[in-house]
Amino acid sequence: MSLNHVRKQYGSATVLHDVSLTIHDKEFFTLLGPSGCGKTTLLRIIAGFESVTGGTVQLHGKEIAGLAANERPVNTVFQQYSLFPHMSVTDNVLFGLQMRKVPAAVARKRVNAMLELVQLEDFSHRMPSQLSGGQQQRVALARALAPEPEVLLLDEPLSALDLKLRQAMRLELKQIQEEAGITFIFVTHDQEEALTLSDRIAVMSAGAIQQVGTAHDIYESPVNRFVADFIGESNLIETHVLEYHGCRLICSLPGGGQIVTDSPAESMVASVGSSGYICVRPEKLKLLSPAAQADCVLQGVVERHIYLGTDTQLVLRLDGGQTIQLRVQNTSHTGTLPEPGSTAQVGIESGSARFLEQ
Amino acid sequence: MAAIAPEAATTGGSVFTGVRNRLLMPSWLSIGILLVIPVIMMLVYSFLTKEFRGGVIWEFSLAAYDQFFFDRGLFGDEPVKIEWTYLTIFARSIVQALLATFFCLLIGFPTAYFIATRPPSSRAIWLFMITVPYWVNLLIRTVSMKFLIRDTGPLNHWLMQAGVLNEPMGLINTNIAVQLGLFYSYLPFMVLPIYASVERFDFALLEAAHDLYAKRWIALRRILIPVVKPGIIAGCILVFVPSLGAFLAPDLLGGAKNFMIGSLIEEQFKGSAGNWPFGAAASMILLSMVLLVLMFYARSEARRVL
Amino acid sequence: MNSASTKLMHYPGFGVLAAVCLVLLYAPLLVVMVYSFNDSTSITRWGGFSLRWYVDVFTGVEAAKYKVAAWNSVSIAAMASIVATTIATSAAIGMTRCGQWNGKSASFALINLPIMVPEIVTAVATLIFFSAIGFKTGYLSILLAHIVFCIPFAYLPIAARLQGISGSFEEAAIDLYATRWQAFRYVLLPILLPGVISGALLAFIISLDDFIITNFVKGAGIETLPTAIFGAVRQGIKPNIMAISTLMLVVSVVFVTVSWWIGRSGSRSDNR
Repeated sequence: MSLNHVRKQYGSATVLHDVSLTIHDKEFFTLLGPSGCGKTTLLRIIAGFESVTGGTVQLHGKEIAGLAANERPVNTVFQQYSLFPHMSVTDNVLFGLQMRKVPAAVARKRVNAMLELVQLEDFSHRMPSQLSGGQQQRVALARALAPEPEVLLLDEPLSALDLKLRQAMRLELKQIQEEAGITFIFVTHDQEEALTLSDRIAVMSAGAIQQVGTAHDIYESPVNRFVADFIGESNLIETHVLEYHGCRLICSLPGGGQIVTDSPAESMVASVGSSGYICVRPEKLKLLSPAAQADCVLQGVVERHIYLGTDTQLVLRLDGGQTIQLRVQNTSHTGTLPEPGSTAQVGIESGSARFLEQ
Repeated sequence: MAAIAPEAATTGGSVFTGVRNRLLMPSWLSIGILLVIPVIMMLVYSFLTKEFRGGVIWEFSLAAYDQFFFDRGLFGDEPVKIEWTYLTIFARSIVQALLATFFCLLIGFPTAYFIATRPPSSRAIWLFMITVPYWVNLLIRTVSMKFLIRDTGPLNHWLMQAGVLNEPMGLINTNIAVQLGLFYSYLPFMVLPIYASVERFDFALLEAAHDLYAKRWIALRRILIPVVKPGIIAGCILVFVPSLGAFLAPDLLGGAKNFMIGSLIEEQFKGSAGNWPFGAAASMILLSMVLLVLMFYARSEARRVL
Repeated sequence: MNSASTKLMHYPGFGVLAAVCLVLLYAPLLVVMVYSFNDSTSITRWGGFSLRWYVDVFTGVEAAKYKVAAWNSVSIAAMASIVATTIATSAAIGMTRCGQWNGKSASFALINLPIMVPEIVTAVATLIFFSAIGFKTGYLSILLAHIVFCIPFAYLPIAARLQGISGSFEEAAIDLYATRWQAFRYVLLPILLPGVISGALLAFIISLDDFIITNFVKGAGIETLPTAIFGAVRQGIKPNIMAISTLMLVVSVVFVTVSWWIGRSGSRSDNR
């Protein structure tokens, strides 16, 4: 599926600015972003519930933006599931097939296969009000898969479930997608979910795509400050460019010192002297013994410890006032950590720093 | 069970937006053709000349309105005097309607408040009990009232038996009877909107007032009533408007001496003594009064919301 | 809520007035009901319990007249209710499911116009209209007039229920290849049904009970139950009138109770 320069306006408010995406067959593709970023609108455009103000939507080369929702081979799992309350589980799953005029016998078989896929064969005669949240979600999934759509859209389907159930359902969803071999387009605001499930992720903010890539790409190589901030935790250290060698930069560190960093996308234009941020993930920082010598060292005063069970997070205040965070695993080798108030040295793992613009 | 997430919980949906006009057309057409056009025709008729045995001659004339307001004597050649008969009838109707509104408010407000402060379980039953009489045919309710209070009726009978009265009260065919009838007909209309407003009232406000040394009745007057005012006004309108144009109460309970607008209008269309343009004119005047009240209400509502 | 604040909310005398209100509302009706079982022909003297007036209604001198009138009333009410409910359902969907648009409040005013115009004005206007276009007054004229003023009464409960139903059910149906009509017929309508039935019952009762408009537009040759009763009352209240009144009263109450009960059970069953 490809979306080209899709724009959506409501009156004077532009909800989507020039969105272009290509989604591959059998891919588990996620739209990730905070509330209000336009991801649900984009999904509804693909489903056919909203029209585009500009741009095209194509499926296997065919233009579908002008088609009504019931003419597109695309089905949706709704956020509140929207199971028809007056129909049993079987009838709900059967609905799409009936609307497509699939012969009754074939339809029945398909419904049974779907219920088996979501492990609800014994619940076929129940009504939606008799099901738990997780079960309803699975029925919604079965119902949307039954008519064999080319693309399945999922609008934050797990957001209404509690944590443990959500985690279990994530794995199931991934399995089902692989078994069914259908393209899934998944919308969520939960980055952990996105990172766990997706083949590729599109991070969105304020109606525009910030970055598209695999979970690894997005985490390790964010293209801008928003993505760095939104995904995982990152330390953003003020810096300016000292030397510029194509895709490698040498940037200043507070307290003197320099570091070699990557630069992000080709679209970035950096010149000597331009300021920005160095982005380093907390786990890439290492506590150094006071005597150690290294190139890329940050020095600061420990502000506090935060005990997190698996790790302890240290918050350090650098010369110049910025704070950074690093994590130290609570293994038996750890020994004592520097107390709040004492100085400490932190080393940056080579190759793990990235330069980001303002 | 299925939690409603914030963004998607609208009742809008997008499915039927495209056929909106087609969906609304039947109602627009039926009401447009069978109510709006007839009212326009009524306006037209009020400017026509009357035909002797009912009906009209299609000839423009202001006679109907003229007859309403002015007395030109039998042959139309006397100096103009104000025709008080019909104006009196209108005035009487307005007074009766205002009185009915007043009494309904007097009894209806405490009732509504009382019901709204019952525990939720009994509230529904109270409401149901209050609404049931409304659903009985207005004619039957008026007939029952007539039956009850007339000279040979049970009320007088019992009071005389109990020794309270020596002779029937002569209630029937009086203004009081009509007033009773109006009050009885439209009381539920006062209770329900006030109930709806009081039910939404945050009683913590009364506690705050009490905390600031207000006595109960003062709190009622200065806190509760202003907040509940929209409901009170709605109730008043719902009683005033139908009372103004009422027909059954004045006809069955008031007799010939207590004509109201409704009876006046009805008379114009029955039998050969009727004067259609005049009836149409009187109806137009009534309609204008009602529309004025409604517009005033709508505007004060809009101002309140803004 | 503690007892102190409950006491604060309590205004002495209000409860009494509420009781008075109820008494006032029910007294005349109860009196009529009681006296309809009065064995004596004298209105006020109690002669013992008897069903003779009910028998008289069905088999007495005027029985035929009342039977025809009752048939007219019921058949007109049934047809007017069905037509008005259909129109109202369509209108309710158009009004609640299509967001905001210019003219929406005008449309709302138009749909509810029959309730806002005083009945006598509607009656006069309709009579004039039929006369002007040469439409013969009779059964059909009554039916048409009834359909129009039943629309808002059916509309209000249906629209109210519709606003409580999420629009995503229809979207789900469309997503699953249903046409708009199929989405309505198989998904929306079943969920909406309690509201529709409520509206239909309300419209039925409103039509059955109508007097003023019917009286105006019916012409000379036909009677409905209310107009027949009115005509009879004009000649003096006879006991069989009380019997009929009681019957109509009971019918009204039953209908409204059923309508209310259906409305409540409908909304209760969605609260999972």
